[in-house]
Amino acid sequence: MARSRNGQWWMHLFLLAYVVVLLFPLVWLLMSSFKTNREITANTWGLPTSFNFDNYMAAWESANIGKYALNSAYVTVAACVMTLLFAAMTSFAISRMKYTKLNKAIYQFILLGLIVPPGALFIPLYRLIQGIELFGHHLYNTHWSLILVYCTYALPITVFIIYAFMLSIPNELEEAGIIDGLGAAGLFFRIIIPISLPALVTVFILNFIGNWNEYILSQLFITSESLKTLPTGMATFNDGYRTNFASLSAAVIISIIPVLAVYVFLQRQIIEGMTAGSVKG
Amino acid sequence: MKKSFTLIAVLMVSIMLIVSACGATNAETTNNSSSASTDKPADSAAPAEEAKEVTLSLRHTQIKETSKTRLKILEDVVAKTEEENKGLTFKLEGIDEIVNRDQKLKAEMAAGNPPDIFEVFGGADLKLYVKAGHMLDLTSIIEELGIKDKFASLSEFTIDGKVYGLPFGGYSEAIFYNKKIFSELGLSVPTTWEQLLDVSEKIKAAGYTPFGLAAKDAWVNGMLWNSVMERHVGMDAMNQVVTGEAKWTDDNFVKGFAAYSELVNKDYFTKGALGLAYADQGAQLLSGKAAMVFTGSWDANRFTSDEAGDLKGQIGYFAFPSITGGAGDQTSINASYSNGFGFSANLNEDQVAGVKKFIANFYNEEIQKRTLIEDKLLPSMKLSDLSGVDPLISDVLTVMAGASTSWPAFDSITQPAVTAEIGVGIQELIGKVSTPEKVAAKIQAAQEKANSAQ
Amino acid sequence: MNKPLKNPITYLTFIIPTFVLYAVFFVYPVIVSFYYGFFEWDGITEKVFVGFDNFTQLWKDEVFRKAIVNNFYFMAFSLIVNIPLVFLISIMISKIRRMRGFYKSAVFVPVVISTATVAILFGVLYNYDSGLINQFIRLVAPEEWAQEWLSNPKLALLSILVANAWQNIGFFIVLCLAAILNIPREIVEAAKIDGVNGWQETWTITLPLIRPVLFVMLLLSVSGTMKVLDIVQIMTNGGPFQSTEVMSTYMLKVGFRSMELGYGSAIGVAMFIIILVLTGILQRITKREEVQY
Repeated sequence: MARSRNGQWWMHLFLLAYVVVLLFPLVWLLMSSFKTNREITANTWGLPTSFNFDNYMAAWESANIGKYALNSAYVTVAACVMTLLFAAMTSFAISRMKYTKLNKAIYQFILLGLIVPPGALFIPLYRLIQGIELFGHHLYNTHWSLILVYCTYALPITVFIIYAFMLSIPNELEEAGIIDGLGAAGLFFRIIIPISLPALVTVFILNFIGNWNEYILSQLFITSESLKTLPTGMATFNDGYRTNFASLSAAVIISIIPVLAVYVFLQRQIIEGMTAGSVKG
Repeated sequence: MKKSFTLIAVLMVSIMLIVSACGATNAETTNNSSSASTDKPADSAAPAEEAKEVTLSLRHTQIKETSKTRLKILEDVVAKTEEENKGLTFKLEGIDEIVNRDQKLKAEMAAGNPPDIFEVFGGADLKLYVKAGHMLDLTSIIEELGIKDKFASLSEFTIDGKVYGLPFGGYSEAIFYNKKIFSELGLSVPTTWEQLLDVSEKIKAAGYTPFGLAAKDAWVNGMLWNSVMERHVGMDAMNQVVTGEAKWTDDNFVKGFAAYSELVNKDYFTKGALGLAYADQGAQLLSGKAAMVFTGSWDANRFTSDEAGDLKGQIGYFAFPSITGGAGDQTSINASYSNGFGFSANLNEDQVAGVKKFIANFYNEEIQKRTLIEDKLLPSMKLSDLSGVDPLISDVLTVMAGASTSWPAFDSITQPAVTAEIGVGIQELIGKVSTPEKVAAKIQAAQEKANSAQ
Repeated sequence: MNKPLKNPITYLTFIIPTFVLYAVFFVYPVIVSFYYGFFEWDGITEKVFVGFDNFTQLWKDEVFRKAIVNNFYFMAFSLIVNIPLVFLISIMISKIRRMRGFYKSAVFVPVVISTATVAILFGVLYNYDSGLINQFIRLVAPEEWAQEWLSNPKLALLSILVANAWQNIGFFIVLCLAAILNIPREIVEAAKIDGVNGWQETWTITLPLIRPVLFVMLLLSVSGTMKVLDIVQIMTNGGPFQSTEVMSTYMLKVGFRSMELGYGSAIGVAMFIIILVLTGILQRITKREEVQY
């Protein structure tokens, strides 16, 4: 044990150096969140003179972050769960069910989604959302407009990753399940989903981040103040003419915390999923 | 293989079905909103018979921290109007300025259902919307209210003699300077190009940046260039480039490019300017690194704020110097009133009546004065009383009052594609990778292409 | 033989939700924007049908060519620098026994920050005058070595690439690491008995076994770098003088700022085709290799 630990010091050195480079900008952001704008301009890289939470108060109050964060959380989680469910179902069908040619065609078709530049679609998408009615309600200016669109645009990459993972699951497990009398739904929920957990968690995090930070569509589809999402609050401090860096950095720190919390929490799931996965071999 | 083709065929058919279904609903809602009006999202089926209940949607872009004051003023006007007119309701909606201008409003105009009241830019944007027939003609309303002659200028919102929008503020562009540095070096405000070069040289020698610049976005460097160019060629020539009567490659124009280049080649601008965002330009002045910045009067708000620190009260404003031998009006200024409100052509009679009340309450001396004092926005209407104004703002007003003529920025004259080419050309000069002649030739090529497309 | 896995109704049930969303919110707008590509249109007034004019114009457009070249720089950088770095770091983290959790969390942190924030952060770091990078350079080297990171056309793209890598590598590391840690221990142990150890193990066992994930990373890199938009838009907006223009930024500029929506859509279509061809090639290559193993 001691021998191998000795052999690892240079790897630690490399990784630590990498982590320092990686985290430095964020540490600076954290420090800036305790400074005044004047301090940031005059003493950009120094330590803050005192730890005051004024910026956080300002961010919380003037950017309406509390309410926006709730909206964001709702939209983000709903879209992620929906994406995960639909993508996992589709991946299951096209990776495990026996329609080889059709599977391939559907897979390729969904992959097209990775190719299209989303910026090209703003105007058609906007006009579409304005025109759609669901159960007698306009979709425009509802959280559902964001949920459905976020979900759709996350599907290609999600299917792509989950499909690759599901493809690598050995057949024996399923066959055992079938012998135990499981149907397709049973196989899906009891066997395939638990094994695929690492992949599911990975894409969940990826989609979570994407949705959490999305700005343009949110501005296009949502008009009511009470429905707006977090990036709108962040934009409050950065108007292109003048950046309130102090409040902005506090707002960024606030907005990062939930995502990091989700990651740290789910990371444990990845490890558990991992052990579940290694049992299979 | 065959199977996948069948599948794709089936898909295409189903997509077409969905497409046509969407198309249908789309058309339907468009009709709805234009006849029954307004308030698209929630209850567009509101009965039109109850004539007293009138709703007007109002789109603004005052969502940033820095525009809180302006929003407050707007909200006050709305509240007052609602109170005075029972049954009249405004639905305010704030979104990002760029998203609104580049995407949302454009998409709405394309679909024919803009908000009832919205912020709009005079000039090219407005022209397009008027051409599509979506802007309410305000001529009779402002005549009736007797405010038509009270505006400083309605030219940016007037097309073929009709007024389609009302500016709520204006700006001028000139030079803000650090009075401390000027007095420390014993400099006085330059009034000629030679003096400007001389002053800059001394500032540079003292270790300061003569002109703070943040040129990542082309419009920023376009401002100073625009004034230099006007001094050299005059507004007539500027207007003639779009008709082909004048060319960017004409002698005077090339002189203008060369003069700008001179400032660059003498290293009077911030180093690394091409990578800096606009916000950084003001920061350079306020941190005491740059002695001057050429920008619009909108920054006066920032330069009088707490961010200025010990430079508060030490920032002044002077007009761009004259250039001897230039063909332009040497004491003119770039000033314009292009930020304003526009109104939808879809409004019904009751709504137009509501709009008239809003205009009366928003466009008057009291609100204009309040905007000037609290928000430091230059009034779009002539004010009789200017007491209580911040010294820097009164500097700005003095400079504007002292100008012989005023003219709009070049990008309200040139076509968007030419504007883009000019931006690139100036950046090339700043980056010292091209010559005035080459830049002029490239812009002229874009100009000819744009002119022929008209 | 497996009946539950060959039931058309179940099959459809599993696929339809994805399909409906995909058709409505994705395929339909794509078709519409393809359609716009054949018009000269400012987005508001009447469209004018111009056939393939937009595309022939595109063929001669120098800025577009420059943009494609820049997209390829992006791709090359991510294939030559990012992916090997990802692999190296993932291997190290997987081999290390202590602090693995810490490294795993730390490398991921930049991923959670929005691109807008990343762009602002690096803008401050790259500042010529007060930026930390130049301050550091001035500390250890002569003044002339300080660079105008974002405004020198020779360096601007590189500066963006570094910021982009900083933000994106973390996700790939997590992906790659999950695959490495997922390799059944038996295989590694069997190999050890055969006398394979250390870095040999990496080449002969780990690399082949995580090939599916490597393929995922390749494909995401290729399609991602070809579509790259926001980081460029916010950091340089294609400047200085269009030296960092990529296809997406050019498309948006043309489509929205210059109000040539038809031409902008044509650029979108061209991008679509270029990425389609590239990913098609990529799939071919990887498939061929699969046969060899």
